[in-house]
Amino acid sequence: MEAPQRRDRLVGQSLTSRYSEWVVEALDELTDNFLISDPCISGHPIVFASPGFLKMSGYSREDVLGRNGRIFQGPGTDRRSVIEIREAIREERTMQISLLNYRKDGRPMWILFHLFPVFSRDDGQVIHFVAVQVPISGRSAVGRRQGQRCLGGTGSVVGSCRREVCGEMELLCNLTVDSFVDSDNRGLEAKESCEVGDLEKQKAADAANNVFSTLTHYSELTGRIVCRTRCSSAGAAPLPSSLNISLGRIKQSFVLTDPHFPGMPIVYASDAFLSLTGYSRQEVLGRNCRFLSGPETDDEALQQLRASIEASNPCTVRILNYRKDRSTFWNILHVSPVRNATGKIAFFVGVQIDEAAKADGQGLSPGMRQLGAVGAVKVAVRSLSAGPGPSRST
Amino acid sequence: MVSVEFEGDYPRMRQNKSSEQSKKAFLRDASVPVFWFGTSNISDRDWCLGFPRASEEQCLLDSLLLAQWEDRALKGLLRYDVNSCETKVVVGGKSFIVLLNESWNANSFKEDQAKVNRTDCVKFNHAKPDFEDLLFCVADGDKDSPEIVSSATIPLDGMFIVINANPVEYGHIFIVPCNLYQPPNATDKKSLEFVLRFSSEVKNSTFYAFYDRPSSSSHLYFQACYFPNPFPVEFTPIIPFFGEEGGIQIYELADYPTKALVFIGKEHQSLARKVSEICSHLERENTQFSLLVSDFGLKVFLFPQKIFGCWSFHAREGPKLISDGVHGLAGQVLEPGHPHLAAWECGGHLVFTDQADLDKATEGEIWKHLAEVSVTDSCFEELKLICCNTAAG
Repeated sequence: MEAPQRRDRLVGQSLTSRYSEWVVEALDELTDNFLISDPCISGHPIVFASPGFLKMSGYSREDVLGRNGRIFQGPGTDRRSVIEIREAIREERTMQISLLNYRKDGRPMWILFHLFPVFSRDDGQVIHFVAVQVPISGRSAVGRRQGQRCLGGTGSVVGSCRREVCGEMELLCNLTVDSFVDSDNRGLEAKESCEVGDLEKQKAADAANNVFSTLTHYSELTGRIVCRTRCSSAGAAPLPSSLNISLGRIKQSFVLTDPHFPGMPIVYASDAFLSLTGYSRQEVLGRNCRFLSGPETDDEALQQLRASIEASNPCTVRILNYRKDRSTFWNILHVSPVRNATGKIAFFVGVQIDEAAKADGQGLSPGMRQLGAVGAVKVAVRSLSAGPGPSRST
Repeated sequence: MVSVEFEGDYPRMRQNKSSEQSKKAFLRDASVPVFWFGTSNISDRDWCLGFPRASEEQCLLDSLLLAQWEDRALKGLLRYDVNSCETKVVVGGKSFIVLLNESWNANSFKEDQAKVNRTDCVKFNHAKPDFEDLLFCVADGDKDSPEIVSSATIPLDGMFIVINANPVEYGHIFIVPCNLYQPPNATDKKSLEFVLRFSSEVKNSTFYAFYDRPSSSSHLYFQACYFPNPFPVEFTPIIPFFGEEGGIQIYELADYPTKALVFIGKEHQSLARKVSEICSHLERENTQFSLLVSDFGLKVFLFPQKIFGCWSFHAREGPKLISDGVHGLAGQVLEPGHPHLAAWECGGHLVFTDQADLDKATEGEIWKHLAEVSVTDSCFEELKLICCNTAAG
C-alpha cells in the first residue's frame, strides 16, 4: 500500500481503534471547540475537529482532517507562542496560552489555547493531544500582547494516575512584560491587556474535562484505557511523541532499534520502511530486524553487521533482504549508533536503500539521502526532550 | 597535559595529513555539489501568509547538508564526536543549556576560523585549499525549484559551505560568502540575505545561523549548526519599540542578562537590509556584536557587546579604544582574553570543558557571565534610537 493511503487510513482509525466506533458520535455531541491530533502518525495530523471548532474557524472537516494544527497560524501569530506549544508537545504536558489564529477566510481570531496529552494507561505512551480553543472576547484583532507564558496547573507530568482529572487550571501569567512596559514606554503604542477572563479559563477547563471524560468512557469499551497523566510502566518506555513527530519528517526507509533490551527490538519504523518491506507497523515493532533475512542472505554480511553493532561503530553492508511476500531486494544498509542529550547511545538507526532505487529528480543520490536521514535522526534524538519523560525543569 | 580519550562514533581525526596530500585536490579538477536556489518565491510554495513553518518533510537542502556533514564525519574530518557530549538544562527559570565538551578549546576553534578566513573565494580557486572541508556550494539558480548539480566549476557569486572540525553542535558549518568582484563582507546586505534564505531553505526549526564580530576585525563568514534544543533567549518575553514599517518589527528583551535587539521580518530582503544597516553602523563604531538567526531566517537576535567596560559608542568623544585585548583606556592593562561571547553563548547555550564546572554551574553564575558583556542602558538606548532613525530614513 502506498504511504499516503496508509496515512489516510491511520488518520481515519486513530480514534476508533482506541475508543471504539461510537466515540466520534459522542464527541460530535459536545458543544465545545476542540481538535484532537495523533502524534504517532507522521506529520502529527488532526484526527478529529469538533463541530464547534469548525463553525468558529470556517473550515470544513475535510479541510482539517489529516492536516497539522499549524494551518491555523498566520502572520500575526507570535513565534514564541508557537515555540511554547512545541515545547509542551515535546514535554508531553498540559499548557494554556493566548494565541492569534486565523479563520479560513483569513480573518484573525484570538483564542485561549488549552492543550493536554492523553496517555495510554498500559504503556504510558501519548495517544492523542487535545487542543481546546476558547475564543477570547473583547479584544481587537491587532493586539500584540500574546505569548504570555501561561503554564497549566500541571508542572510535572511524571507520576501515577492519581490526578486523573486535573480540575483547576491555574493561570500563572508572567507579569514581567507589563512592568517593563511601564518603565519604558518610549516608542510603544498603547498596549492591550493580556488578561484572559476567568470566564474563558473556566470554559477551557470545563471543555477539557468534557472531552477527557468522553475519551475515558469510550476507552473502557475497548479495554485500552487512557489517562491524563503518564502512568509508570514496567516494559520498554514508548518513544516520546515529540521524537515520533521529528522522525515522521524523514521520508527514507529506516528503523530505530533499542540496544538496551534483549534482542534489540525495533522501536520505530518509518512509513517508507513499511512500504519497502510490506509489513504493517504492528508486525515489526518489538521485533528484531532479522525477519528481513532469508535463506539466501549472506552470513558474512550479517556477521559484519553484528560486529559493528557490538563495537558501536557505524557500518554499511550490501545484504539480500526479504519482503513480507518473500520477494527479495538488495539492501544497501547503513547502521549507526544514535546518541541522546546525555551523550549515551540511545538507539541504533538502520537506513535501508533498495539498490534498484534511482537518484531523485532534484539531484540527491540515494547514498546522500541515506546519510541525510542518519543526520536528521541524530539531531532529533539529541533533543533534550527526546528522552522519556519531561526534562525541562519547570 | 592529560589527553582525553574520546568515545565517539566516528574515526579519530586524521592526523598528520601531509600538506602535499591535502593540496592535491584542485577545486578545478574535482566536482563539488552545487545547490542552486529555486527562483519561485518560497512564500508561494510553502508558507502561508508569510508565516514560516517547519515543512512536513525533510527538505532538499537539509538532506544535502546533513548528508555531506555525516559523510565527512565518517571520513574522519572531525576532531571529536560532538554527539557524545553531555547536554543538560540548568535548574532555574531561564533553563540555560550547558554542554560538556572536554575536547573543546577556544584556540583550536580560532585556528579553524583563521583557516576559513584564508579561504576567500579567490584563494579557493587558486590556493588549493583542504578540499575535503568543502561540503558544497550554494548559488542563485534560474530554475523554478531548487536542485543539486555536481559540478567541476564553482559559481563565482555564491556561498561556500565548509565543515567546522570543532563543532559546537551537530552539523556545524562555516557559510563563506564568495564574490570575485567585491571584497566579501558577511554582514553586507547581499550576504546576509543569502544566509537568511539559506536558513529558510533548510526549513528545519533546529537550524540556526550565527555571526560573531570581535572588536578587532570582521569575520568573513557566518556559521550555522543544528541546535536540537531551542535557545533560552527564544523563550524570553520581547517588547516592541519599532514596528511594522516595511514589515520589520524590532523588539528588545524584557528579562534577560544580555541586552539584545530582536528583528522580526516577513521576508528576507527587507530584514537583511535592516539588520545589515545596524551591523555596518556597529562596525564603523568598532563595536563587538553577535547575530543569531532563527525561525527559518525570519528572526535575528543582535547582541551588542561592550569592550573593556566602556562601549565604543563613547569612543567618539574620548580616546579611541585599543581593542587588542591587552591595553584599554589610558594604557590601563587589561586581562587578556576579555570576554567576547559567541552568539550561541549569548543565546543561553554554554560549553564547559570540565565535568566539575558543569556540575557546579548555576543559573546565577551564568546570568552573571552573560550580563558581563551586556552594554550599558544608555548605550543600548542610543542603539535603539539609531534603529528607529535608520528605519525611518
